[in-house]
Amino acid sequence: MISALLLPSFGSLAALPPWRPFIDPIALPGGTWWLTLIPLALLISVVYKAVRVSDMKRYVPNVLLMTAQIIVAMALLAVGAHVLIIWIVPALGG
Amino acid sequence: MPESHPDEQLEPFAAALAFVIPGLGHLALGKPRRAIFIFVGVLGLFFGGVFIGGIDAVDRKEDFWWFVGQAGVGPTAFIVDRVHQSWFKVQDPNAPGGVRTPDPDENPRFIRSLGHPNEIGALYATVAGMLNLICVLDCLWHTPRRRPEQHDQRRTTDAQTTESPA
Repeated sequence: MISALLLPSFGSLAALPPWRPFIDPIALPGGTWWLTLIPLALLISVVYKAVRVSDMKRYVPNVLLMTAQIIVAMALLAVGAHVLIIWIVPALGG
Repeated sequence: MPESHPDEQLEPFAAALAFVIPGLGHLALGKPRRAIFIFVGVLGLFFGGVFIGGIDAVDRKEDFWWFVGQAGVGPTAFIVDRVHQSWFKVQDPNAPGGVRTPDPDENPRFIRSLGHPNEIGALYATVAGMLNLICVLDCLWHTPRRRPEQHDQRRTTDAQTTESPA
């Protein structure tokens, strides 16, 4: 009764089953999806450097360096795309 | 001309093991630390993708080209897809492939992955598959890595060999 009053237009949401990990998608809070780049970059570096590094004593610094390189490169690409789309393309269009 | 590696060995058995379970090929080649990192990294990415995008991130029938990349993880990807197709889809003769994702009011209850979670989940799982293919190739054309001191010793020997005829 109370939920029907509180959620008059979202009545079906109350009937949704509870979230099941690995079956249902997670609800990424708005604007935070790009944070998933960090574990992605870290895990890519973990696997790639496990194959490439000749001396495993230098493994961890190599992984951290590659992770930082990926994140910085992606940030620079984002800045470049922003400048191109928001500033340069409208300027070219007159 | 490509550089030749005289130490390079063809290891098809290790490559097959690397495809069956990520990291198993390097374990068979006597590299347990590398094997652990590969296992954790590849399966961490794959199941990280399934965690973010739900099981809908792995879908051979509706997202075929994503699955081509994800298949590099090996049987794990095919098992997850099989579970997805048989437990979380409904039979529909009109749908392509004979099955489709259930509507919200149908059984089994299933929340379809859409937008960023779906894209990111599929990306994680696909990157996992592509990285595991690199590991499989590394096992297949395996070059035994020397320790740095052995490498320096080899360099010195090579330099002496080059200098001696002169």
